[in-house]
Amino acid sequence: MIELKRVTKTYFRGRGGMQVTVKAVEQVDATIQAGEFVVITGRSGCGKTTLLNLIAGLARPDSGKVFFEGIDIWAMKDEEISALRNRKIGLMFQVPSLMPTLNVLDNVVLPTLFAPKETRKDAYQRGREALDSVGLSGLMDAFPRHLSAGEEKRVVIARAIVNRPPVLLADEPTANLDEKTEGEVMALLQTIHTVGATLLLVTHHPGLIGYGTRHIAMSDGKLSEDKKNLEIGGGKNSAERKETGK
Amino acid sequence: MTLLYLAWRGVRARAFRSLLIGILVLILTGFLLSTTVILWGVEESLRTGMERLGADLIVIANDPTEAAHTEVLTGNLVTQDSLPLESVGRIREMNAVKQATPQLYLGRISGSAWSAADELYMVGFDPETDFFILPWLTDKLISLGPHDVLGGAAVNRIATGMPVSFHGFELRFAGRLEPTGIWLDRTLFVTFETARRMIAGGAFPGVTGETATSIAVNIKPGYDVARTALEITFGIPGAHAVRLPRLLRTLAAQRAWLTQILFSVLGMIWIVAVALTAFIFSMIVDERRREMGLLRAAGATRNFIFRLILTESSFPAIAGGFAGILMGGGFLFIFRTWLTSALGMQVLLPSWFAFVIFMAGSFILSLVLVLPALLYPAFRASRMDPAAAMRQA
Repeated sequence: MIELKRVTKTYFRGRGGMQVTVKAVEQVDATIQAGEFVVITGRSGCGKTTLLNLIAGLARPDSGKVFFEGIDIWAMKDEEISALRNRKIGLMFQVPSLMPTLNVLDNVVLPTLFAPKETRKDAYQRGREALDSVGLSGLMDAFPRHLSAGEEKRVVIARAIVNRPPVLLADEPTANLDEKTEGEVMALLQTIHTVGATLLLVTHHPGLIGYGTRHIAMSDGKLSEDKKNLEIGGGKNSAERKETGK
Repeated sequence: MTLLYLAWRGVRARAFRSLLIGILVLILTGFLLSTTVILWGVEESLRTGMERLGADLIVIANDPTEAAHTEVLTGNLVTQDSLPLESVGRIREMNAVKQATPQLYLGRISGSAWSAADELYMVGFDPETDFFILPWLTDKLISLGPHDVLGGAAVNRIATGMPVSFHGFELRFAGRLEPTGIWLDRTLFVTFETARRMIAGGAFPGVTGETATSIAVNIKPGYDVARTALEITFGIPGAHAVRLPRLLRTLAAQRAWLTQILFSVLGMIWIVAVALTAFIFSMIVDERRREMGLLRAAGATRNFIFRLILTESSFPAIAGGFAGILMGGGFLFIFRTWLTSALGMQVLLPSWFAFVIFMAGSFILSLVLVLPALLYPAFRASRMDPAAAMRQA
């Protein structure tokens, strides 16, 4: 479903003579099959988020190619790659990513704005369903500033699934959450996976590895480990997961 | 959810900055409308006024300076010398001359209750030979008696038939002229006979009754106006004949300073409005990098982001432009009398239809003028790398 071929991405930090080149992702080859739940782990700054951005078509690789369903995404026009992100990929960012000017329901239906032939009524109906599925139907009219960190994460999940994309990319979805809320968020993601979505989850928290069907470890922009066919850890409590991770 | 809704939410969330941009565009549009209408009004009042007066030549005392020409056109005859009344007869005797009629500038009346204008002029004229003033009367006059006075269109706070008391002289307001767009509008006219009685009574010190300040001359068809002007200037002692085109050219030169000042101020307002609008929206775009990245991640195209920022910035610009034309229009109507006295020139306001055209034109032009300021941040936002925007926010 997703294939990366010798993908490299370099960033430049600083300016002028103080500029430093950082190879965030270096010569990465990987294939993600439909229906997998891939957990990508690694230390902060090892290139996990960049890898996710490359897959989502949010960052252009310096070299190498990213294929989505067999199509080189960087050979696409802006309209095509935007449509791919809108219909095929649901994104969950590490940073707060709700529009502060919109209420919860509007935030959730935001991706439907870019979907063709989407009627307003259908869009809002699906938005309400998505919010219901993450247990936040009572907060539809609230604004992001009124939400707790856990509620915000769940709204982001609702938004990511509103267009029912086949692939979900989650960047540190449990960062800054307490154990209970972390368990709720992961249970939600697992449910989404079990209904057929392909999930790529990036985390620095080894305790989440047990949720995936495959684990990829990253170090200094390279894939250092790739293990498949892990047991799905759904239903485990937080303490058990930590042990599994160790 | 639509682009308009999203843009509107953005405007509401940044109400103060949106208001600031609205005010900038309001000032720009209001000033643009006022400037254009004032310049047009001055030009039009002179052109139509002089064209419709029907005189081919104006003969004044031998003073060929531009100041004297201007005084003839504005009616503000302060430095004018006068011609002996015999000059009128001598001009009439010329073959080329069809009609010649004298006017005598008597003085100024400040702060009269008969008009909203700050200052009125009083002029003596000869009803027997006149072709310059009487054709402008709104109602046909049977006769003009020794106690009668006529007023220009701006003498509008007195009804026909009402008494007018001036320096102890009891006069009767006998009629009003149609608007001419020139100094006639702000003038009271009495016959030469009445003028002489008033001069004798000490109403106008320094003015002699047997003189004329200017003589309006009409040339017979087929005669050369320029040649006749030269014949008058060189043939009649102390007389200087001025042709209408030359008078208008002189006045256009006098008006150049007004055009320069108004357009300089307009230019400065435009620069400030564009720079501030571009700055404010660049700031907004910088603050919202994460939102832009998020929209791109959710499937927005570059084109959508461009349209979103452009729409968002257009809301206050359109509202400001609309308020600007209303305020500019209101200013012109409320202060038109003040403008005439402040500028020393008659400002003729356009018809309602023409005024609506001016308003629409100013509105569109001001939006076109601020467009560069709206396009730049929109372009920047649309070109942001979504991943970098999310990371750097």
